[in-house]
Amino acid sequence: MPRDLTPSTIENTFVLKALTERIRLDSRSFNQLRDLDISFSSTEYGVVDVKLGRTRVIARISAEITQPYADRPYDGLFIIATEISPMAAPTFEAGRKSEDELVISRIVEKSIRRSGALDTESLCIISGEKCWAVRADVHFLDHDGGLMDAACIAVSAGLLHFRRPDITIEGVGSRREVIVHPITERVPVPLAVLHVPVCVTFSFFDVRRASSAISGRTRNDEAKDVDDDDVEEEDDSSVAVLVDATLQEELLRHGYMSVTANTNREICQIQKGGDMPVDVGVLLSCSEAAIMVAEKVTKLINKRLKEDGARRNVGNLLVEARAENDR
Amino acid sequence: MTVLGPAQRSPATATTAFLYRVDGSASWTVGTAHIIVSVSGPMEVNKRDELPDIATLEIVVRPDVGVASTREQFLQDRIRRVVGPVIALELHPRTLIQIVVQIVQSGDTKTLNTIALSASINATYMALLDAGVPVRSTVSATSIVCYGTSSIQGGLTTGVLIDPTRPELEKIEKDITSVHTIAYELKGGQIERLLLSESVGTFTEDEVFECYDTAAKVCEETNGTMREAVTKSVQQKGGWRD
Amino acid sequence: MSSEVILPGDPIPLDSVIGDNLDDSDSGPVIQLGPGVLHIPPETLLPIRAGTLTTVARSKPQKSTTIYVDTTGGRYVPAVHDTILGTVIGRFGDQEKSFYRVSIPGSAAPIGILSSAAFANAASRHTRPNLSNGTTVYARISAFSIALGEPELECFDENTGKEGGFGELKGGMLADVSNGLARRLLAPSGAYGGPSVVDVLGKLVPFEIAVGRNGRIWIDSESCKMTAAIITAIQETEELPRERMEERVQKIIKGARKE
Repeated sequence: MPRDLTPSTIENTFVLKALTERIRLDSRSFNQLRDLDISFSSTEYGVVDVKLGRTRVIARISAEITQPYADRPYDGLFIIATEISPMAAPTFEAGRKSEDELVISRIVEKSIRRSGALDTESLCIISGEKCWAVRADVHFLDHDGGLMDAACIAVSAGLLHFRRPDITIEGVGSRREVIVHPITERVPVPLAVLHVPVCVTFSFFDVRRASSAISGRTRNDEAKDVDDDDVEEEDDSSVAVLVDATLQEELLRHGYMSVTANTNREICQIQKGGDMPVDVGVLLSCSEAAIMVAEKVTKLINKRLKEDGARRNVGNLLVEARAENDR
Repeated sequence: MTVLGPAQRSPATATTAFLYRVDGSASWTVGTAHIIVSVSGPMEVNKRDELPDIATLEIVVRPDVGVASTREQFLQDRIRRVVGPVIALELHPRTLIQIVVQIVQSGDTKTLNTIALSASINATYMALLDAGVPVRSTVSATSIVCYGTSSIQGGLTTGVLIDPTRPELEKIEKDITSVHTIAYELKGGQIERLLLSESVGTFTEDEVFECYDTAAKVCEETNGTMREAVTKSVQQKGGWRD
Repeated sequence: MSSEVILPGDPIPLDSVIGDNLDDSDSGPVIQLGPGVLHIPPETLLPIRAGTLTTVARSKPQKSTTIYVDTTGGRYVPAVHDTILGTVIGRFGDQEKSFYRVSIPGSAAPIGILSSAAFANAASRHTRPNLSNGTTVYARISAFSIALGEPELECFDENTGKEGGFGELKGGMLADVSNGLARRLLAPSGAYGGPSVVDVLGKLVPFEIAVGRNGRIWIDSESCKMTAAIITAIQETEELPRERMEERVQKIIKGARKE
């Protein structure tokens, strides 16, 4: 297993110097997302392939019937598995959780499960006895930064795309039985998705640190700069905020903040890391930007869902087969 | 002589070199199965796994749903048995060749474990080629499912499915008599030797030999698919040179 | 030079390899094996990689045929005389004799050893460079075998003993390219029957380039913006045919100039 790549001084200096000139290596603007592509499996429900630039993630949603937890008899189960294999990058070790991986799984967990994107009560079949366990397996195929953003989009889209088999309950009392109708027999049922959380990661670069590194100025000069800045109250010149960093930018950044938002203009979670303090102003502008990205991404998910629906619905059979139709 | 009924077959498609962080990648789609494999190496190996005279071969199989279980262990073992002898491990001693097999859609029913295996072997081989890992020959695998339905008149209709889709399997699941996963080694597009024969169910000697013959034909075709994919990839990567 | 796509195990007919090299030689035909071809005695040639089977006939210094399988992907395996771009990650030894540990990204052997005496003008202790961690060096592999484990590096031209562009690189930027592209960039101008991407770029803008066989390049030019554009131009056009490569390169460089 190779070690993690340590960026060289050249890369560090160049990236920071370019940022002071407001240039990103892939010629994106600071608040521009990489090309996002979402596609669904043509043969199965709930399999989503998300490409964010060179980062690629496949999410697979599945459901099976199980027993609910004793203390939550009215709730179904929802599990998100985010194990990173060496396929994403050889630096990840199979079967061992790295620190990055923990952060990613926590953010995805907070963004989707804890924000209540899936109505777990709707998964209840017979209280205390039977419920649906919905599982989201996230497979990280290629790592070029922004794994959590891509994972979040993939799971959100997967939940919307997934259909579970229809069920009926027969009998009464203790002799109740659950009959599962295969999807070839009955139109499968979508999940109760309450909102579509989209995670956006902002990377912070201390440009002042950069400019002093480049020109090799002394500490006194730097202190003077700080005074100047205080007078002018000019924040954004000292901090460069990048949306959707590539792996190279991720390795070089001084701090980051992941914001999960939805189209209801709600912030689902914020996670901040790195050794850089962030102003209130930056926090607010990031939140606003996250909401805008969430709107854009949700729009794309819905567009792709519609296209996929049209492709599946050849001959309008699904409408014909709906349960609420007259018989 | 035909003991088994007529055969149906789903076409396979292969793509390579679509992952950037690993040294080689391939995806193999056949029927409803979809497998993605990455290969990295030869690269630095953990001291405890290091072998003095050959490269260490690590194979990780990741399930489409849930955590790895005995099923993945089985797949891992069989893939190792097939591709292991073909890789020239002795050319890169004290290094690691790492294969990650990601099952995206297994294409099997709950009780079977054959399509995922044959598709994984094909995908793994393509990824090895893409990664430039030295191999001595080519490898192709296929799945053959034999079934027999007794009709009301009392007659027995038998049939063979080659690399079937999941709906096809589900339709005949109750009538399956035997399942064969067969892998051949090929040189220059010609069958060289049998690498894997994994058979489950009831079958006669004649039947299994017929399966070998059918599989040989299918593997030669599959080999053609692989050659096309490699040619396409080589031409694409050629770029601005003549 | 002839070429065709070949898979491992395919037969290589000896006649076609030797061709007209066979006649007028007293000692029998001379065949040189390059990467991807294994010799199984007595006279079987076995391709062990998928790619383009390439044969090159030579008449000097003696009549011979070189045969190899050309591949673009795969991990870099160190070989003596190759130039690499690495990063200093540590130092060991004492004042008299010290060595740098150099990471070689993308290589089968990840760490190389660079003696502080393996630089031009490093005869005396005082003229030896003092490299800090994170420094990028352009170096040549002077010794490597699988048994040795770690490649040995040198930072001077092996023919002249002078600096020759090797050593610490300052400024500019590093970028990743595929193994195959690195090889193409290092080929002499016109080796592929026309201008390479470097030739095309060179006509448009002055810049410096260093190519490491480990799939890394170093670029420096007039500005950050131009350096970034040159890197993009090289990376993006890898798979384009020549005319489209030229068009694309011109567009990218023009775009960087305009703003």
